[in-house]
Amino acid sequence: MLLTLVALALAGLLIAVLVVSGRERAASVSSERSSLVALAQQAREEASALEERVVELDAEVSRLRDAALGAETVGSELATQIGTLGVTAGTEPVQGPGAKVVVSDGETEVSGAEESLSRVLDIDLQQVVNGLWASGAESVAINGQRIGALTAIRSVQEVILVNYTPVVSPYEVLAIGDPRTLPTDFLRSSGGRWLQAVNLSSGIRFTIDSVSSRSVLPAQPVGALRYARPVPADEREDAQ
Amino acid sequence: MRVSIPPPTTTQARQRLRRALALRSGRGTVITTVLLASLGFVAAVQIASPDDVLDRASRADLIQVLDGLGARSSQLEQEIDRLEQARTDLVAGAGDSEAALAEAQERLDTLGILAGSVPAQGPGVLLTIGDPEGVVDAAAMLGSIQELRDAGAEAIQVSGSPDRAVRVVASTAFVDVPNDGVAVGGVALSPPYTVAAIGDPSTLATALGIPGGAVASLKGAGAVIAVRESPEVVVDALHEATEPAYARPADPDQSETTG
Amino acid sequence: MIPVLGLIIGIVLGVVLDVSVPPALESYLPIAVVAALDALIGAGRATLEGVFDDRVFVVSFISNVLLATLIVFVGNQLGVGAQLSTAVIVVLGIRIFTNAAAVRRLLLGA
Repeated sequence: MLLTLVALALAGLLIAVLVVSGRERAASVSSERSSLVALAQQAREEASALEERVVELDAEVSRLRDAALGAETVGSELATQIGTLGVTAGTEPVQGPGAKVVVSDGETEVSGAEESLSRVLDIDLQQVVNGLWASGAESVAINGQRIGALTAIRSVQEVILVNYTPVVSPYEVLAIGDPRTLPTDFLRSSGGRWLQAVNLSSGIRFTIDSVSSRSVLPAQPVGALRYARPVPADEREDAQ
Repeated sequence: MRVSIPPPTTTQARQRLRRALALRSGRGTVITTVLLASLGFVAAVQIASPDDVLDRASRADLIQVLDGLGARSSQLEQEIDRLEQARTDLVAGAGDSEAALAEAQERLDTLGILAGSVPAQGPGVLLTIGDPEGVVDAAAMLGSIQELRDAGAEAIQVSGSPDRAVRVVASTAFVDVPNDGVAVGGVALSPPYTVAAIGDPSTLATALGIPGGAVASLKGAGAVIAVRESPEVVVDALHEATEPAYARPADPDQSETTG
Repeated sequence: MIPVLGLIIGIVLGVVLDVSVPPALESYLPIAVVAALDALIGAGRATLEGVFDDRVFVVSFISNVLLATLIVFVGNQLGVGAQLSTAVIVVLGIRIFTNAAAVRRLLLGA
């Protein structure tokens, strides 16, 4: 009877020690990490709320400006030009038919070192976007992030950032262009060949379809440029 | 004393299956149904909930993402201030088109620089790439441009021989020309190349110097690289914009198709 | 039949309603689902053998889920959460497999 009691007491002591030390260890590591994760999630939500506000304000200012300029010929010409340039510069949302390339991470059977090989990297997405432009695409977006003149596609180890915003696999690259020729032209382009090569070597999967209905690519708002300013008209050469 | 029950036959089992599938209610049906419904619900929620990439990211990644998002948020806040100011000006000067014209001209300049239809000048860097070994390919150039953009380059052009300069805009593609250099935006260029970028000179220069970056790899492979910061870089090559045949402006309210 | 309909309705609701998983429950949910599945398949086998008792089903369903969750919870506190949850899944998996094989034998005679 005494032996049973002692054995149980020891067992209880062991469990208590394990629990306390385990909690301390886990708490210090996980609490720092989970607060980092929470911070990152919060930052992401804030950034996307700010983006929405910018798009809202931008539309409002455009409306006000168009209304104020409406009467004058010079003014309304300017307004039209701003609209057209916005489409090519990526600052206005666009819609149209085209193609959709979906690139996804390969199957990961082994964790650790093996995993990184079959993950989609920034160069893969850069090549896809480059191939689409070379095939005649007029506007491109990745997972809702419009590719504009200032857009960078960058990997931060396991996360890919487009316009400084994290995007995840599967990566849906939407392009507006000729839905009949864009998919085949893309497959023959350097981007298409890159995907095929990477599929063979790393198991990264991709599909490409034409999109005949209109997809909408959101705008990528741009603020005032901080370093570049236009060359004054009188200083410009007429020929390149 | 145990009574041994003979194992059920297949026919019996199938009969029971049919009986069980018949519409029938009983005492236990309610709670069984509730349990199964909750199982279905929870399972579906679990399956349908997407993995958050941030949950799986490492500590170092999270810090970098936080930095990037922080920079983006402050950029966006500045833009909001500018827009709110513009709105106030426009509302205050309603009927007075002068303020509106000035604002429109400014906006047009910005968009023009981005779209490549307006020549630009400002502080920045000049990156010269000599290629005696023939190692500079389209992928390497694309990588360098991405690094410049990531570092905040606002206007970029690439020049090479023969004496041509090409403005780099969003839609500029980089394609290898076999044995002969790189085609930038459809224009074939041969080395030596010069990339001119307008932005914060030290940020751009640092980005180009990152070990493991595109430029560093080029240097390692035998290209001759020089990076020069300059207080006045001129990007005056222009991009000939063609009227889009398929892309049309979309109503700003319908922005949710991709995600 | 009605319980099966209930299952289907539950699945549809789960897909249609955009419910997000509370972060605290994230690690327990998959285990609970597998434990419930084990009870479910066990009930299926009992039905085909003619020995289904709804009371037994309810008790086994609830106790499976609670027990599995409790084991994983204790494991998390001790710092061996991942390993214990693997162990629980392995055991449940074996039981599911066994019951499913019995169902197969009953229905197909082989």
